[in-house]
Amino acid sequence: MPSLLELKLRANQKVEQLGLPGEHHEDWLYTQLENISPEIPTAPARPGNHDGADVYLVNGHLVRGELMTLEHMPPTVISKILSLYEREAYDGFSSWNLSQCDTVQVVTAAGTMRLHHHVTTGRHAAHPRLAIIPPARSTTTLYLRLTAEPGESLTNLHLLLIAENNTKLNLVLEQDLAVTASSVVTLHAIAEKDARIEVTDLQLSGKVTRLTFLGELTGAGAHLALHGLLLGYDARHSDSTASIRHLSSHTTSKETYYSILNNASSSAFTGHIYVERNAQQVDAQQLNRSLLLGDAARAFSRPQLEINADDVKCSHGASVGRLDPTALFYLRSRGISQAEARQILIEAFAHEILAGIADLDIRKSVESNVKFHLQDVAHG
Amino acid sequence: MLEIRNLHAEVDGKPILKGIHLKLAAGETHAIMGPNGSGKSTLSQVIAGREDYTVTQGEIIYNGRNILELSVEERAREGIFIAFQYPTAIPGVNNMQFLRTAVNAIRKHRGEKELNSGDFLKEARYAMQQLDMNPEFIKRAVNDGFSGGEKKKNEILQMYMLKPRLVILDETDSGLDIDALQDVSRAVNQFRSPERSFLVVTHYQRLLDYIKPDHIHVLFDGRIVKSGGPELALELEQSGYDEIKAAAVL
Amino acid sequence: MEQVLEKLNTDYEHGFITAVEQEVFPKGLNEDIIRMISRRKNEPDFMLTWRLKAFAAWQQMKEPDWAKINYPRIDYQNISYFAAPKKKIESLDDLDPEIRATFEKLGIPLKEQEVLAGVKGAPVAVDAVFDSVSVGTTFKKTLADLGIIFCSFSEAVQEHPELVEKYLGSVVPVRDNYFSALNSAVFSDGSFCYIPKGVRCPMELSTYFRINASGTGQFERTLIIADDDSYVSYLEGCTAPSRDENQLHAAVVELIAHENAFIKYSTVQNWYPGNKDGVGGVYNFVTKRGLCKGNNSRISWTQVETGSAITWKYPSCVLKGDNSIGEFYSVAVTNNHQQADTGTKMIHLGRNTKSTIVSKGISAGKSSNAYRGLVRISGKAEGARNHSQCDSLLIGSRCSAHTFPYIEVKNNSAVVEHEATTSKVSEEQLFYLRQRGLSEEEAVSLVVSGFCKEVFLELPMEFAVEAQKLLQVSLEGSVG
Repeated sequence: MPSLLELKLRANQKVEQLGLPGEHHEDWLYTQLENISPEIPTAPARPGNHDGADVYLVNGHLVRGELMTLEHMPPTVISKILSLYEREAYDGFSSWNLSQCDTVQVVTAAGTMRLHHHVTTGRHAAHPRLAIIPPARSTTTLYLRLTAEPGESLTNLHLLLIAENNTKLNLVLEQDLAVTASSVVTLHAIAEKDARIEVTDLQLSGKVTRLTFLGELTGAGAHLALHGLLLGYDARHSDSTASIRHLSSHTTSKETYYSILNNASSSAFTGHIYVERNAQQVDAQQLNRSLLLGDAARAFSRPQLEINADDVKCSHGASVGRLDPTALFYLRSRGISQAEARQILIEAFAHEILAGIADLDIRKSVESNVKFHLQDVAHG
Repeated sequence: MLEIRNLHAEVDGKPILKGIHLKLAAGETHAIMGPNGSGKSTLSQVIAGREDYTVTQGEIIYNGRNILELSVEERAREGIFIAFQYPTAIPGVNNMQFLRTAVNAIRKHRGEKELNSGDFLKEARYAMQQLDMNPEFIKRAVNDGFSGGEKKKNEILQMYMLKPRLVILDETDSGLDIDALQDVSRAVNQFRSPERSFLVVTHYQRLLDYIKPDHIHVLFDGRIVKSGGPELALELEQSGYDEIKAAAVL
Repeated sequence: MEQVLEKLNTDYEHGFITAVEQEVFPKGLNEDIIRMISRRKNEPDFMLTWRLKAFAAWQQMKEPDWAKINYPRIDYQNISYFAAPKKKIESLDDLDPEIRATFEKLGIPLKEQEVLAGVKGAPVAVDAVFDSVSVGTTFKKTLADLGIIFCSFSEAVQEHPELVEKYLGSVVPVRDNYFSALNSAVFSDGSFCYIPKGVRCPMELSTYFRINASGTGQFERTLIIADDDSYVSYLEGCTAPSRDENQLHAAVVELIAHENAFIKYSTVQNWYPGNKDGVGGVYNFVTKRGLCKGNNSRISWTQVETGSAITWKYPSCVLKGDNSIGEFYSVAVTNNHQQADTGTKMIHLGRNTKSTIVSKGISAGKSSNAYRGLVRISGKAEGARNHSQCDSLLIGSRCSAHTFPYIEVKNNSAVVEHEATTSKVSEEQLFYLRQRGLSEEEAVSLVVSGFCKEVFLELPMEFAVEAQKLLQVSLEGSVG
């Protein structure tokens, strides 16, 4: 097993050789990060005022709260994490993160935790790297909020989620940056036997926000859910590129993404469901809906199925359109104004994603952030 | 209350209504009957203010004012209510939130105080009781996953809550079993008053056994071809629309 | 089930070879070969210039590798680019009896009297292409009376050069893709059709393609122009002998629909798929595209793809005219080692344009079947609508089914809906049908034809019957 240092050196070499993916790369077809290259300096350690989160990180460095670093973990955990890092396919941002990250912060405790990562102003990139590996048979809920001050910064986060035997792991991930800052999150989630992972991906604000998701269902009874809400206004762009791989029989997954786009904003959804040969009794469902409110808003959708077993139930659906005119008419026929009817329908659309967040406190926090941004979305 | 003068309307360039005249006084209930495709539903949609129906001639006078220039919500706030034939399902929008927003929009328009959620709930519960509806109803998404009967009852519930002055029942009996039909009719009859008028649009005479109209108009090919008292419904039931059709062709 | 699988082995009904004296060009591709083809066909200068331009473009291009298909590298220098029966044909009566017998064996009537005698119901005018050349077109006279031009491509180049020059490459430009560039350089024949203004073509027009010669590629070109207010229904069928080698077929079809015109294009593709171990079979790399040029025009593609070792084709519509309509109905069946990567592109440019996609993929054996489709609503396509339905059916546990739709919406008044499902033939359905006395084969066939019904309904009557039969044959031996 190569050491972390060795992996970092390898990653560095690869980034120098291959650089970051651009539009020639199929998975980055619709998403371009202008002015972002590996030459951008790594953001410096800074103190910061935390906002009540249990764990507060600034520019990739822990400022408040307790997290273990990788070297303090038991050898079995270290080798598990490192072997996963080693076999990750090259994707540029993830390797850049690995080469630049200060350390690997590990979450091992069960229970509920609020984490906040903040990037200070400046033209720099932060490379936080977190590994979440709660004890088997436990239930863990994490709320991770990403913010950035105005400035051309990049939050380049790498997250590893490992849900072992019978573990329940919920993650609410919120990208809520200043409108000039961008973020790329690489999330690798592994659901082992009878484990359940639920990820809610909220991309609320930022110049470009993106989630690159790799979910693997490796044991029978594993379930993976990925829900996302992409909000767009001005010229903002959001992207979710997710691959869900059913590597074992008797696994289920559900993916639901909604976009609400105003002005000249755009969103790109790529959902790739892969079923391994002989992975029978798989149920995989995927849905992508986009609401185009702005005259120049654009939506790109690529729902993909790659099925190599026959006893499976897989489906995907995608739709792009405006607010349903018959629903608008119905509401107005009861005396509700056009603007209010729009607002009701837009909020209801967003709510379908938020309703999936089981932890009510976290849902409340998220709802108020979403509502805040929806004002921009609904009125343009 | 309502006077329709020489109303012509078309959909996608195709004329559907070809000169409707109708007068409905306060407290009266009129029925519009006619075969499929005669223009019955178009008439209710045009009164409601559907934008994809184009009025090419004529006017609709409601309480002394031509309402054609009013938007759909302005008409609703003025007291016009349509119980739709096919109420739209709105997934994700909670029935209570929807109704409260509507009630308060209308109250505000009338210069009344907005209802707080306690008062609103009290009123809604009472209305639901009248309609023999399950109180859980109010928590569900608007018409989403409702049975045909539940949808129609939900329309009547809205009528109770919004307290309109002109009610148009568009094929309200369609998709209702006899029990639901009786519930709905009872609720409508209770709601009748000297200040309120009803326009009951229906294909069958069945509904008129329960909601007795003062006048009946027969609509055919976009025009009212016959008007009369309640006895006209029975006549139609016996002879069907064929005679009307034959007469209209002549 | 395993027993049924073992017992049955798909027989390719059209696998015979016709013994006929052939003129075959030497193998290899260079400018001289292209000049030879052009000279042999006595083409005007513009054609040669166009071919050479395409060849230059092709040399700069790379063979695409993005499709979900695997095949050994094709040696383009080891293919002969022209093969034709030696005997010169002046009219249908001169046709080599061997060739006539071939088409008769395939059920393609080349004698007008036979068709008129009502053997096959409604008359169908046929252009038969044998290897690189058209060997005969029926009903030319009847059609000419209406002003309809229906002839081989070679003839069109001679008789109607102005139409060919105007429209050739106007929908699929030479640089469009690797295979279309190759086709543009070397295509030898094909069908040409022009429907004049206001004419509703009274019979189905049909081209029947047959590869016979060994070591050759087939590169034909079809060009159909429907002028204002016209209508035509066009059928295309194809077969090839069973050979151990892989034969290359790279065709280009261009359709142009002017104002209010409607072109209905149906294909039953039954090229030799290779044997059950994956030896031999046709590589079918085809570019088909229709341009709805005029307002209110409509192009409808229906395809039943059962043959070929590899299928790579995406019949597409460019919806330029306002209110124009594009449709794609497809059944693609793969069995044994067949690979198919097929679908469509709907490019919405005009206002209120509509498109419909219905794709049914059936994979059996060790085959791989992919749907790949693009729906693009451009910024100016106000009020555009698309509905796509892509379903896959899996038979057996060693096959694969893939779905790769691309949806790009740049206009906020568009409504785009896409649905896809993947499922297997259910044991319960089979059990139920067998309990009612059907064999397992019959039961599968019944379920599959139900699955494809929506698409078959789009086919002209006689073709639908053929397609149904073909489907049954293709899936023989698949139950397991």
